[in-house]
Amino acid sequence: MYREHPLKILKFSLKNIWMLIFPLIRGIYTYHFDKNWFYNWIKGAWFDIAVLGAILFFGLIRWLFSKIDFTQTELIHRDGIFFRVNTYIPFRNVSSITTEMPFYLAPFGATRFRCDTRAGIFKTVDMKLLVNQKTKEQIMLRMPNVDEEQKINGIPQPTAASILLFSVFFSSGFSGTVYLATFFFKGGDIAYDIISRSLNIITTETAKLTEKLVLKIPTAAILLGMFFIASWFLSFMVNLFRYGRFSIDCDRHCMKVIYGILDRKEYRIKNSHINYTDLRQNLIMKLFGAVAVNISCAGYGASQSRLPVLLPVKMEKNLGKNLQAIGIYSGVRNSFSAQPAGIGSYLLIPLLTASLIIPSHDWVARIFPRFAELSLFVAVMFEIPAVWFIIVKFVALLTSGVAFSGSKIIVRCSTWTRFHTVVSDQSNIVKVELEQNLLQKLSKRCALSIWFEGEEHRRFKVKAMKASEADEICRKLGYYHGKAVNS
Amino acid sequence: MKHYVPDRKCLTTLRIIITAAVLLVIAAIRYFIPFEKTVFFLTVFLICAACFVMFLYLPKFFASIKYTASETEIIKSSGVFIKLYQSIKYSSIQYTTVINTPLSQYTGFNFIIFFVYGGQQRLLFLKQSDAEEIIRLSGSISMKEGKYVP
Repeated sequence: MYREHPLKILKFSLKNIWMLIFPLIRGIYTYHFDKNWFYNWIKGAWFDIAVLGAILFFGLIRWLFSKIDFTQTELIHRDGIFFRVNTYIPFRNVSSITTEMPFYLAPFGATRFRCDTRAGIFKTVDMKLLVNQKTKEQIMLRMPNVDEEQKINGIPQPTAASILLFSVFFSSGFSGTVYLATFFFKGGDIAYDIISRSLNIITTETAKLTEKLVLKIPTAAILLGMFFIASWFLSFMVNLFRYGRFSIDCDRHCMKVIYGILDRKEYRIKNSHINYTDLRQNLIMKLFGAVAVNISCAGYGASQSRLPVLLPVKMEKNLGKNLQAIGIYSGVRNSFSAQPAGIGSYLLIPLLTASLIIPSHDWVARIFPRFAELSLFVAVMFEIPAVWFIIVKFVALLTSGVAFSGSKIIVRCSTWTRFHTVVSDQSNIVKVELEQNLLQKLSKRCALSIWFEGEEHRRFKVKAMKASEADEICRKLGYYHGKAVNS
Repeated sequence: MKHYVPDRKCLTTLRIIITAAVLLVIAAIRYFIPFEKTVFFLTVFLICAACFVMFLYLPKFFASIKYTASETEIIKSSGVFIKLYQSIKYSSIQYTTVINTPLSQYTGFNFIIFFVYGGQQRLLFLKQSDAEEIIRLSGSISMKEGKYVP
């Protein structure tokens, strides 16, 4: 039997912080009903100290009741004083474990341990413990680990350059931030002239106002631009420190990922519990043939601020066949592709958006001619991302599709401005949906959506598929509702 | 196929807890609120609410709960206003949490939560012997001499 680290007493004590309500009530009571409330409050300070003592005492008792145990087949955690909560996690069902020793816990020798199974629907952690080194070693002995003798050779270790690029691309929307900053930096100057003139036209009265207001616009614009750049840079630095010193090892059953410069995290992932591998790209990465390999596995990258990344930016052509053992397939051509004739499914909304921006400037200019220049400026600034979106969706049309390779299915699709190549075992598919509107019915096309197993239910949608091919895909996967769209 | 129902002792325990909680709240109200009418209305409201829960809702709720365990799955049916039927296969159980209190053989506070793909199933207010039997049937916790390690 083992216990959690004594630091946990503080965490348990924090849960009883509500007890401070008693000193608070006492304070309010003396304030309202006694003129000498301050004197009375101080006189009764022993009560406040007693409450604080009780909080710490409950924390200590709670810690004494929190125990870690093992049987031959499971990890047991017992918690609670009155309500005894005993959690039993069989080792065979553990999908991933995480150990972390942040720099502020290092002097105390405390390690955070998290254990996850495939149970549940949200990205919740199934068991969270704070343990000392000895307990950690005992737990880790029983957890999945990479066998040094059966290690798969040739797993590409991320280089400093790939971590740098990954941090650039995945720090709070790189392109979006750069665009917004440009909008405010460059736009600020232009907007200053245009808005000054527009407002000056209205009346001489407002001209006075303009003097006061408009002079501040460039400063505000610069500040906003600086804010976006600074926030991106901060996010970039955080990512650099978070994913720096990235290393990956694996055998046929288990994968060990360690990363972090200040806060080292170690993940052990059971390969058979990986739901799918997702090769993510944005347009720039797509043009250069680079990918970021992510995986979906319970517990890996589960916290909000973490990405489930396995291989930060890598050239797709460099992903060798030896990576197929861990579910990374590349260079497999689509067996069934999106139909170029179904261009409307991909480009209708982006084209409509892009084509409505300029006319809307015309309408604004006609209704408010004094603001014509200003609306032109705003329209141009909005037109740029709209055109970018058209290019993204056009590339998506050319690359989307479905491929099969042995027992694996490979789905290529795009969501917003991101491209996905999802690789999974066919048995991991939990839902297949076919969507067909009247126009698609006439042209014998449909959209195919696939969901995979996992705590996070994500949809991967391939639009503009030939109905007969969608039917064939469904049959291959063991679903027989494809004929409804193929009749 | 075996049927299990909640431990009726738990109903008595819950009634005692609710009565104690209501008396405590009434005492606090009388102590902190100086307005007699407000105290009176709040007291009447609390007593009525407690009586409704203790003598109407809880007996109905307890009567509605039924667990049916077979060789491969466990089915839970419950609900006073809306009936809920939930079935899980033992093979889909990923891990288990057992909650009990001291003297749970007298209070009936024995709960089992089975965590499965996509959710969980909560078996509430079980007799201690029933809880042990369900755990044994599910095979989700390793047993030592016919008993799970408590």
